[in-house]
Amino acid sequence: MPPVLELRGITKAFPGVLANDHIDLTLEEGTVHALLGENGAGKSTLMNILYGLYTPDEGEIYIRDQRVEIDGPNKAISLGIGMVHQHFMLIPVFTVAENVMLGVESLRNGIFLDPSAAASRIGEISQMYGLRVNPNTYVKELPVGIQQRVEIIKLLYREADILILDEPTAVLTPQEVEEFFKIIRSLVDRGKSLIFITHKLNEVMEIADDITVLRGGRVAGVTKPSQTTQKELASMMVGREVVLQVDKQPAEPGDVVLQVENLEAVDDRGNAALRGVSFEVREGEVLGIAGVQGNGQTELVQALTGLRNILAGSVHIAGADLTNASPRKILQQGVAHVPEDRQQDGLVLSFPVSDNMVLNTYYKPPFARYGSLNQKQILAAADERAREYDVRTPSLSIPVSNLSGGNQQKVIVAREFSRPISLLIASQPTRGLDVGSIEYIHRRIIEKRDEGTAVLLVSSELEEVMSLSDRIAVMFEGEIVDILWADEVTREQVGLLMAGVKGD
Amino acid sequence: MTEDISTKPQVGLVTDIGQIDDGTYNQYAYEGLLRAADEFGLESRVIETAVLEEFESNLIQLAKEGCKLLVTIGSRKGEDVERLAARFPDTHFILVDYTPYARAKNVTGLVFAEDQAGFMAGALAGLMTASGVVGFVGGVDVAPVLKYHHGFEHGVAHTNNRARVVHAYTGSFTDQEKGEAAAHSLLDQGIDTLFAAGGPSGSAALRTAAAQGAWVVGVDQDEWGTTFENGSAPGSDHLLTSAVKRIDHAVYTAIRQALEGKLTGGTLTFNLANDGVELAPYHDADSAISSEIQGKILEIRKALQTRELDTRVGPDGQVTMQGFLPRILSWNWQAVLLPFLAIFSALVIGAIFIAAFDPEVWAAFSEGFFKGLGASFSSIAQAYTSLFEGAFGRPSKIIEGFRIYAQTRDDVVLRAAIRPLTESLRLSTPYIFAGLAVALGFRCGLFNIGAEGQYFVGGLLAVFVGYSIKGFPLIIHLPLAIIGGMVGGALWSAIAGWLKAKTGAHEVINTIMLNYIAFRLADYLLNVGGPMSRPGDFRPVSPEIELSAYLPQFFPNDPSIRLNSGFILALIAVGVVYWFLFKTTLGFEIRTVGANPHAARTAGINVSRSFVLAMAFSGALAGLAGAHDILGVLHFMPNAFSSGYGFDAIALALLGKSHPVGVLLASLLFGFLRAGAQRMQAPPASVPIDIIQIVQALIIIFIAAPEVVRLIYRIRAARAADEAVFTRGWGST
Ligand SMILES: Nc1ncnc2c1ncn2[C@@H]1O[C@H](COP(=O)(O)OP(=O)(O)OP(=O)(O)O)[C@@H](O)[C@H]1O
Ligand SMILES: [Mg+2]
Repeated sequence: MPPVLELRGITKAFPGVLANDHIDLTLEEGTVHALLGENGAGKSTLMNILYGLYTPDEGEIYIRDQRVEIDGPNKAISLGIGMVHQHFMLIPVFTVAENVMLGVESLRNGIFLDPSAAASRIGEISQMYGLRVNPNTYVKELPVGIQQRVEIIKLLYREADILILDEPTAVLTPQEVEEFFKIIRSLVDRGKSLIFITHKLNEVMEIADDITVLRGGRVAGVTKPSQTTQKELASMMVGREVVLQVDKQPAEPGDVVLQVENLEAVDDRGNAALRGVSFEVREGEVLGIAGVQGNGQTELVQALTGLRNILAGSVHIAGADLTNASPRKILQQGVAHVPEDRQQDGLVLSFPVSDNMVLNTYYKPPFARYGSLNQKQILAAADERAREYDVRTPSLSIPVSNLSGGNQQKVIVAREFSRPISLLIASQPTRGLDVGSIEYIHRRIIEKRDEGTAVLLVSSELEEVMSLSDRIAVMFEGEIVDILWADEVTREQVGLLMAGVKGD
Repeated sequence: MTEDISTKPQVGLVTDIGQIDDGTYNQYAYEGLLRAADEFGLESRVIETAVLEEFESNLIQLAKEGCKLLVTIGSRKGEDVERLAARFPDTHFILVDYTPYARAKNVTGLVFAEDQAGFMAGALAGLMTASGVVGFVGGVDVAPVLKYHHGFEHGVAHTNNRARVVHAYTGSFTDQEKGEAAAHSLLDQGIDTLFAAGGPSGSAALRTAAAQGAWVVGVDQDEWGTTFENGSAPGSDHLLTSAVKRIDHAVYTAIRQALEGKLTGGTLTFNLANDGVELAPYHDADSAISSEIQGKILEIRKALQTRELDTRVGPDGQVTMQGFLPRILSWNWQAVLLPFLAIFSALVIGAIFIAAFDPEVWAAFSEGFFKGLGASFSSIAQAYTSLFEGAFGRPSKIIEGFRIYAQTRDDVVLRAAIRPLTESLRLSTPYIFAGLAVALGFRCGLFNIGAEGQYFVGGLLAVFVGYSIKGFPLIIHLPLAIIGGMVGGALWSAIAGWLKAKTGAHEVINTIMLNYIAFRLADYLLNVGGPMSRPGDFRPVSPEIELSAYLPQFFPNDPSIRLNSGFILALIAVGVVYWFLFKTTLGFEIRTVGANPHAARTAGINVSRSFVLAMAFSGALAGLAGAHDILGVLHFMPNAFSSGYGFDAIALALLGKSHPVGVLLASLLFGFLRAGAQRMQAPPASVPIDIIQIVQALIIIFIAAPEVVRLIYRIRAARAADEAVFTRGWGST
């Protein structure tokens, strides 16, 4: 049987970068093909080419041995190719059904939209693949895990049989990942073929049939899970040995920096999200917040950074009462904030990389004097930060949206880490990063800790919390159920607490 | 040796793969290293990499042993070396043939102007060929090879514009068979001169071609000494020369600079001017190359060296354009072309309307089709001629005016001739202010529909200051009146900004409401007997402003020319708004809020304050438009003051892409159209002014929907990166 899809010699250059350099890739029918690679290795670019969003400079695409020219997403869809982008492309104020039928609207009498016809097809699809979702809810009200299902349903609705999933698991909780894998298996069982991009090597080992590793725009290796190890994959990706374990000395905690007492707040819908949260973080220690996403972590971070109204309780940072203080006041108190949703809260995508590097310090000397910006200084500082944090960009003046997802994250980390700080609040700091960069950022966090910074780490990756934290606070339904010493506790114990099972 | 070895600074070399006598890169790098070591008394260490996998560990070994300078070839593993460099900050890595990616302070790439060497080779080939067909064989199309290739092509074209260059790539630097095959296929196409840049694969091509009696040119090093074994190999008399890259010299120079403390990372370029590239001696072919040709090559070398002559090859080997016209063409011409085509299309459609609404055309059609057609054309020509003359004046008259002025110093004719032009500029002035107002709002994500109301209130305050204050000199009174206009507009719009910031009320609704309030306010103030009405007058108008509040005219003695210094003020406003938006922290905040309010808030920007500020600035600009019309043109305020600027301003901001300069251009366009339309309305054309509004509307539609224009003219979209789908709903916070 011929491969369902074959890419030969795909080459694509952007000004200053060769994003894809003669890439070959073969996808067999009814299999999952994992595409691995560092941030900026060219994975998304390759997939965007396949989906017709970019025109390759060179190379050929074959579908079942037929040469095809894909000059736009419509062409890709008509060839049975569907793609879920790294950053979702749903319209939040539309319902699930409306989002799904967008572009392929079913019409009643040839004029009127017929959402009910769409809804019933969505019902069938959900049934068949185990993608449970209510077609009539608004997308903005759905958690990311479900939004992802909507994206996948969108593809199936268009009868795609080659599905491209660009970092689908980056935004999912471990539970959601389990669900997601079930969906993948049911897709494969029904003969769909998938290209699956991820940075998580354990996922690759679990779900992939074939693996292609990209590095610097080229194919660095092709293998199978049965023939390789995670360690080998990591070094194939990065081109050197990767330390998957964080290596750190015991913490030497100092004075209390962040003191939170009986914090209460509500979420966007007005439901109680924080029900009397108290804890403290000291100089030179990492307090990790573990918890299944949606148990108040997001609201906690927002309350601490001045982005959410605090109804009761208090926040003291370095002795100053910052309960309901403005975000700027809090930032000026030496707080660094790596927000959870980088594209929404961390970056201005249409701004150049350089401006994003000074997004919260632009008004201070040397970047500005007497209210007038000094672009030279901004560029110089951005240049230095980009180098130090290995942000891979052909130029600092291109919009940050042109950077690969992982490099966008590095821009934020570079910005937040390179000013004097006493408290670091990091939400999902390594989401979407490759193993090499994760190693790097973990090292920087520990370095900050060792310099005496207090670190509050929020992550839905239990692994990350376990390996970085000195103490772990477990959140469940808006409360901190327990705070534990990281070296005295097992994964299982934390996992149980996260699930709301109280130990004794 | 007297000196203790261990005290000597160490320099090291790791071959990328192969030995230091490989006759090419590694060998030349080594020679450069040796020369530097010798000259500066350095201890040199060398590791020859046998298999690629050991390359990195070899580098690490030398770095760990304390080599302060490490030389290697970067083309294969440059990126890995760069990564490695981060771990050894005390060691400076010098990479031949590599452009560092991240510009670390301890990584220097050495790159060469292969295009210059290739150009000279091409120039020689162009002069030597008899058949008029010359060939190029490349290995893999990496940047250095592309630079040789395109430099060669341009060199050939430089000396022999009838010659044709054919080329072939072997896809390998090592496969000799493919090189031979490539040579044969080019020979079959009739070449009699061949240049090859492809390592051993390319050298094989050269040998093959030389054996068949073609002239050949070597590459990278003097191939007379290598491929043709110092002239002992057959065909060496057919080797014209080689395009040489002085790797030894480059490595030596880099080391010297390092010792002088001048090596700080980045790339060093080696070209003809610093002896980085050159043509090798002619050797056995010397007698075959006439002294005239040799002289020409020398001239070309000099011209390249002084940059008088450009190879037209970019740093990645791409062909670049040269000269004024190509540079303009390579510019983002779509950005210019699309608006132009939009205007053109709108005029074409406008022409249809003109003909269709002309009763004479109908009459002519009833007499016969061709008569009708003729009448249509004359009607359209008539109308557009008036439009043009109304906007710019009649060129012949302007020339005539200048002539008379030059001869007699009498400017009556000239003034009359340029009157339309000045009128266009005058009409553009309020457009500029109002367009800037809306554009500034857009930049903050605000849709200021209220420019009209702000224009009114600005006008009211300006006129009030203008007539109520008496006895001040112009220098005080005029600025006061102008400021009055700005303050009026600013206060009015700030209300909407404040409501948005405090209550989240949408500015579109609020500014529309404020428009009505402004109109009624003017009614109340100006109507006969109202607080600002002109005493004793039966019309709803304000008193005349004092002379000291007049915006000075350009031609004070000729009241028919109404262009006044307000136009200068508008140009200044363009500059100020640009500066404000892009050079100040407040502008930065406003743009950030406009582009992503969430990120702005997270970054500590006071979003509410930005809303109020942007609204106030926007209103001040709209108020200036009102002040201009009062202080510069009317000198009093009638109740029916409105001229729809506020609404046209939205179109201007859209047309100008919310950029001050774009708004300026759009405003000039509208001003000229409006001035022209007034002339068009008058006999002989007698076209209803509505036609121009249709044309304006069409221009806006075409600019707002560039796809339509692209479709009509079959222009392919420049595949921009961001074909993103908007996920942020309109009006969402
Ligand atoms: N539109 C663009 N314009 C310019 N450069 C771009 C553009 N899109 C991508 N690039 C560059 O191309 C390279 C590859 O990017 P790509 O998004 O394919 O990486 P990726 O492998 O998906 O990385 P990540 O894991 O971080 O998402 C990067 O260096 C990126 O900066
Ligand atoms: Mg990506």
